[in-house]
Amino acid sequence: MKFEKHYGRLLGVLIGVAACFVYARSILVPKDFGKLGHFRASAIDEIKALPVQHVGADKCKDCHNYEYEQWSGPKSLHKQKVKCEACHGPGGHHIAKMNGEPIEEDPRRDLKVPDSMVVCSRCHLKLTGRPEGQPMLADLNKHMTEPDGTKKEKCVSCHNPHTQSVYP
Amino acid sequence: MKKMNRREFLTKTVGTGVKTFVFGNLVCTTAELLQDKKSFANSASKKEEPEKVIFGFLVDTRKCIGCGSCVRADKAENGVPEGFFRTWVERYTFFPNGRVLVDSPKGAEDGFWPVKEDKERTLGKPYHHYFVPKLCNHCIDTPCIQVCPVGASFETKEGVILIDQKRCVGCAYCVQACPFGTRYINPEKGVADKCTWCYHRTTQGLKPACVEVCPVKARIFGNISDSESEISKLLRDNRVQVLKSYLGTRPKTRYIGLDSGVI
Ligand code: HEC
Ligand code: HEC
Ligand code: HEC
Ligand code: HEC
Repeated sequence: MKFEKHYGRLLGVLIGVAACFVYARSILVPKDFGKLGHFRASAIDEIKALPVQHVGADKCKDCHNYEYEQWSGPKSLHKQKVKCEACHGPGGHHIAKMNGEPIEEDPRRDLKVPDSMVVCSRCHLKLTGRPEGQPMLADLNKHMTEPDGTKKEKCVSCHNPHTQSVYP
Repeated sequence: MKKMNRREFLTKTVGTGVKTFVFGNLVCTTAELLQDKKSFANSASKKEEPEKVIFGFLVDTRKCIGCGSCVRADKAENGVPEGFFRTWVERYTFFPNGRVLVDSPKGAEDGFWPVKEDKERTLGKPYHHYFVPKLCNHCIDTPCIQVCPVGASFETKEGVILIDQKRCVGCAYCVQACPFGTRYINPEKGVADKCTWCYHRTTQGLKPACVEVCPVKARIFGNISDSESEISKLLRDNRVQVLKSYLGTRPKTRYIGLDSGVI
């Protein structure tokens, strides 16, 4: 007898707790959570929408036809294997800028190759571990010196980076 | 009604409490499940199945020249902070006495330099060396998804493991769970981060940035459910391996030309 009214109160409290739980859960768990699995389904679309930076050599063709022709031509050094963006860096930012889109200046996105020594020797220095077929230079100092003894500063003083091996 | 003592009262009330709680939960979940089923059934009946795409990644260590183009491309494409890597290249140098030297200066961001002669340790003349690019293995039985407490790591229908960075709380369980060390906590965002196989590119039909710039085709990416794709042919024609197969995570990034010294 004594406890009867306590039951009622307790039930009230419990229903209150359960309601709070359901409410909190509906707020804390995102709407599309669990739609495709134990995760937020719209995260997939968010990741898909990230900007593409490496646009591919074909995009450069429109504005740099001269370099593109050389690079894809029959005399090309790199025979289309080494892409523009492997030497120059990603072009997405550059193209947006050149098309006049309002975009922040970012010196890291500059496509100029400041030092061809650094860029070319990453791939052409002789290293233990490089496979046989790769053209490698064992002695850079010797290679950079003309037969008549003058020393060159850059790889591009003698090589055209886009086309035939050596400047005539 | 029978008079109750204190013990009976407590057991009964606590019991009812637990029951109500469980019941409430059950109702919630069932409602959700039913909804899921409905939407699933709807989507299944509406449009017929599109062509199945399962992504795969193959690394040919016999071809890699260790130039680090992939590392730079990846960092630029995905805005990876200084000092962290989603992909990197290691150089393995094997010495006659069974010792192995592994180096990866700055993750090979600036390429490699010749191995210094190391006279004090008398390792001898190296007899075997090659480069091993590393990246997320997108395992089938992946530990990183299992440990995530908030459901921020997940697998897409293409088999790519992604991170929902809005949901991630940065607890770094997954960073510790990954046996390949491919995850890191992004210091700018405070959340976990890793290679996505450039999901934003590959779902548009582009190649991942690292594959795009590789000058020697040491990295191959493609659809492995299409038996005529380049990667399927290479997987058929070569002896492929995965990293740390003994852990049973079943990686989807395969390698050609590894040997047992590579970890
Ligand atoms: C919309 C046209 C356009 C496209 C597309 C384009 N560029 Fe350019 N690019 C330009 C223009 C215009 C300049 C000259 C800018 C200047 O001198 O300030 C330039 C300059 C350059 C330079 C020289 C930079 C310098 O500071 O001297 C390089 C290298 C270059 N582009 C590379 C590329 C590459 C690689 C691509 C492909 C990813 C590309 N460009 C795509 C318009 C374009
Ligand atoms: C092997 C590396 C390499 C590749 C591949 C390459 N470039 Fe270059 N490119 C260079 C270097 C090095 C220079 C700087 C030349 C110099 O300083 O004289 C350069 C210069 C340029 C310039 C500026 C020319 C000038 O007169 O200032 C443009 C534009 C350019 N490249 C576009 C391209 C395009 C477009 C492609 C792809 C079709 C491409 N490059 C591929 C290495 C490369
Ligand atoms: C991303 C790596 C990479 C970079 C950077 C690079 N090369 Fe190459 N280069 C190669 C590869 C790979 C080949 C072999 C191409 C082939 O198999 O046809 C090659 C071939 C060559 C050859 C022809 C060798 C031969 O015997 O046919 C020359 C010359 C050359 N590169 C010069 C340069 C110069 C100069 C630069 C800097 C402007 C440069 N390379 C930058 C990867 C690179
Ligand atoms: C003094 C001019 C000069 C400079 C500077 C120069 N080269 Fe060369 N390079 C040549 C000549 C000439 C050849 C052709 C040699 C031959 O065919 O035997 C050549 C050939 C090559 C080859 C092909 C070698 C092979 O075995 O097939 C590569 C690769 C190369 N150079 C890369 C470079 C790189 C990288 C640099 C900058 C670090 C550079 N060169 C700077 C003149 C030069």
